[in-house]
Amino acid sequence: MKLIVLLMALCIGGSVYAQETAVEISDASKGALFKRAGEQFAAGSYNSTITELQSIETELLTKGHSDKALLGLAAYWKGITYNRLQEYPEAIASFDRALGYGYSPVDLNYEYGQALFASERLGEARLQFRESIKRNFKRAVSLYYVGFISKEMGERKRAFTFLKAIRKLDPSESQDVLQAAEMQIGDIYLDQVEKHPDAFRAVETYVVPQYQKALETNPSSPLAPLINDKILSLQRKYDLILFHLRNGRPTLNPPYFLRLAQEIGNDSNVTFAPTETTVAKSKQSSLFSRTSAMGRYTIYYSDYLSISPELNFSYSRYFNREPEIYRNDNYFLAPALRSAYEHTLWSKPASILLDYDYSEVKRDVYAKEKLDFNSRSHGFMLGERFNFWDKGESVVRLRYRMVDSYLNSSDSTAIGLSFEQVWALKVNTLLFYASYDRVRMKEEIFDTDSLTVRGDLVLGRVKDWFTPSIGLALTSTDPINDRDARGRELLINPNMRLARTFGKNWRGNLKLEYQENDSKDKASFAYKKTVYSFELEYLF
Amino acid sequence: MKILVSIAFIGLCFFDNAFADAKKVAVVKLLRGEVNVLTLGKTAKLNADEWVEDGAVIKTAEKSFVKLIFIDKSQMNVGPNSEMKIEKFDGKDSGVIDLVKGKIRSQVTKDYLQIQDKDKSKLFIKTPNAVMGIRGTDFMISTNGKNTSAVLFEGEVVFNRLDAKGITNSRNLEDIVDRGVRMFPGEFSVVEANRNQPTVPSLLNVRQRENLEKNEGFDTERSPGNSKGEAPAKSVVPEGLSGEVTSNDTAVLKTEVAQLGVGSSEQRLTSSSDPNGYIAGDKIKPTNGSFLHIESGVIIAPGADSIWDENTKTYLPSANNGTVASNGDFIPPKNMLITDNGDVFELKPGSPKDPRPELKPILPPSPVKPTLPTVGFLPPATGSGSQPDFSPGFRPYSPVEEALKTTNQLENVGTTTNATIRARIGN
Repeated sequence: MKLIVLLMALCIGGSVYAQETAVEISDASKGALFKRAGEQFAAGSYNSTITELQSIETELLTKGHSDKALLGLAAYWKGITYNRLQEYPEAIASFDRALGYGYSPVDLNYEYGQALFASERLGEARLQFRESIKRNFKRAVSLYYVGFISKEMGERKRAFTFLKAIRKLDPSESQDVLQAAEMQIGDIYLDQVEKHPDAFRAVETYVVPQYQKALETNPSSPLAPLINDKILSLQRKYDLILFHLRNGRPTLNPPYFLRLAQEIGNDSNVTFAPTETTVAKSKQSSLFSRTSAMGRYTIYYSDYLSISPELNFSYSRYFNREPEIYRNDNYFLAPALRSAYEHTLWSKPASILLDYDYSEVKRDVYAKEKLDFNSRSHGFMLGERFNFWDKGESVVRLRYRMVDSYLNSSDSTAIGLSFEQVWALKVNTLLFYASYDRVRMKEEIFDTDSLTVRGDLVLGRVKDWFTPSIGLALTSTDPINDRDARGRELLINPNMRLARTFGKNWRGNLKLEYQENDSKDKASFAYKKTVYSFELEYLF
Repeated sequence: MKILVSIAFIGLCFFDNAFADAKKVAVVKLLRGEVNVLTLGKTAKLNADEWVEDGAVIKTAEKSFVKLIFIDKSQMNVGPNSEMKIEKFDGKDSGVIDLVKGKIRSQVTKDYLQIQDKDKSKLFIKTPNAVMGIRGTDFMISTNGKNTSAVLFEGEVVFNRLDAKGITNSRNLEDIVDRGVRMFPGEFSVVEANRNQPTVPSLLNVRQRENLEKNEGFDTERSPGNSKGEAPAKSVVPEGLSGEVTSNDTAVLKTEVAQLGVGSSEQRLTSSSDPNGYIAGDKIKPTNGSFLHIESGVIIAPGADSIWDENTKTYLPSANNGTVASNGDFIPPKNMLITDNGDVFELKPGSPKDPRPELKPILPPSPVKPTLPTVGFLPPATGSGSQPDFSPGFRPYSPVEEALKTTNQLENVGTTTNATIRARIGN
């Protein structure tokens, strides 16, 4: 009994002593205790922060302070700092200790989950991220982590549930995560269907549309190219889209092309000749505006034939309102149907080209400030595009065109043979064009035979700023019924263009062109003109 | 007469001593390994407490190091395999040190020469291709003869490319550094042999900065990056997300700490602009948080799976991008080898440790963080010929490309061509 009483007395005495030594720390002392750690952390000296926090913990424990909040803070802070140093085992131990002290700020589970995730302790990491969701801390990312981890662990259903839940969040919360979540859902679909014998159908019906949905969330995000690659690789793998024609020539991707352009410029000597029998020159300059559009869609029939409907449109207006000038106001509409049959020539890709085009031009022919019928034409072209030289493609074309003009005398037929060559140099590109054309008018005195030679050099980009190109065309025209009066005419046509793209779709062109036509009939056919303009294009 | 001769003799002795003392500019405070000094064409072994004269050349061998205390109390530590010449340190004008190769870590006193003007350099350090003007500071400079890299721990320096080698005049050097870049604590900059200007100063990886700052004595012993030497973990950034999205800005921690009255007023790191970095011709701004291979000046940007640290305004690269040894050296990832002269090799599984006889160097890694959040091991290569186009979607204009893409013909090469063709055909 005496012994029991003695032991009890010792216990009571011990606990009273312990209570006396567990000294409370004042708020000012707490601040002073953590001041240095705060400075080190703010300076990004994370190793020193940890050393500081460790000494605080040691000090607190050795002096018998039982302030769990302070010990918890030190442990939690260490955990966060270890995470910054990517020392995850230490971070995990620190977060564990903080939780042991009952210290759990709202972001602790998230940071703890990241440390566990990096240490590949996925099950435990998922629990922490679920806690983080419950505590409304970084909900979208936490949901993503749970979904992603579940996917990694092969739990597709659960992964799908959590990733799908991101869709229900407010866009302000989910915007940075939604696209990646949609992509992960696409991955889950793919994972499910890939081993199925009929996989291509499911890939086409579910997987690719899901990736496309992900892509549409933000087509210009850094993740978009990755999603696009996934779509393309599936389309290739399952032959969902034709990528190459049978001769190896790539198909157009995308198959459509649309160009809108607005050009403003000045013409020093407005002329309009295409359907008239003389070069009527105004000898007056005028500002002009030209609005144009061009669209084309290419449809592939198997891997050897393509058909491309096309539409060209332009509207030109001159600002000098003298009748001689504004009678040149016009619009031009030209649908066309182009086709290409793919084959090989000299074991290299080649195409037989067959085109039909129609055009209709309206113009202020009577200078009444009203656009009337000017001309219409039907054109046919048979050509061959081939690779004889390694430096670039060549095209030979045979053309035939019938023109019906508002002037019966100007009705004509034309036949032409042309040759085009692309020559890719190291940085620059050379384009060569030559043609021989015979134009036969209804009124025979205006028939012409002409030969055109043209060279263009497209230079490499200058300082990432613009792309210059220069060209020179020479056309020698033989007015076969009127040789005595006009002689053999020579048109010299140098030109220059500076092009610059803006962003993904815009392009600006600064153009300068000079024309000088030399003719024996100085009054009607000889002329000089300079045209400079700025064109802004939008390319889809 | 005797008295006069005696006075003259004593005066001469004083003058001689004074002259001799004036040439002594630094004393050896600490020395490790083999360090030699070349004075007036004579090479001698340098010992502790020995004085070094103006014009002396100091050479350190491998794993060697010497700490010099200059007459103005500035401290200069010369690292292993280094060669440094004290070109001018006369106490009258700004000093000039020529670092031929190797590394210097220096703490220059703020009151050297009692220069009050904050914008005037108190000391210049030249390398074969760069010059640094020091305005009272703690910094490190390193050169391999081709590239020069500088890291600033405290104070302020100005840094620029140096083309004319023989300049020792302070005013000329000041003009050059004034046109260069101004660095703030925590930042680094590199003058590369093939570029006309130093990189725009960027914040160095926080861990590397801290370890380098501690390693004043150029300790060459490398212990692994993390404290326990464990294998590096995988990235905390899951596939599909970016480091920015997954990062926690530590606002909660700061609130918790603020309740104790602890603020973060002493933030020392400067938040360099454009933390993501950019490449615009010769102008390069590495991503904040990049690693620096000190010996070669090769910059390794954080990978796409790096996490953003709002506290330091830097990216924290994952182990896929390499790590930092305890002495501040960058340890490349297992599939990369960087030599001191700046050659970078990609190591394939099964490659021998020294692949140089078999492999050709690859282009150095990009100093700018990639945006694609895929987990990559080697960052995409850059350099002349394969420099990434950092404005995505910027299409070079090519009439040929356009013509082939849109029409499969050359008719649409230009409106002039169109007009000419149409005119000839009779459209």
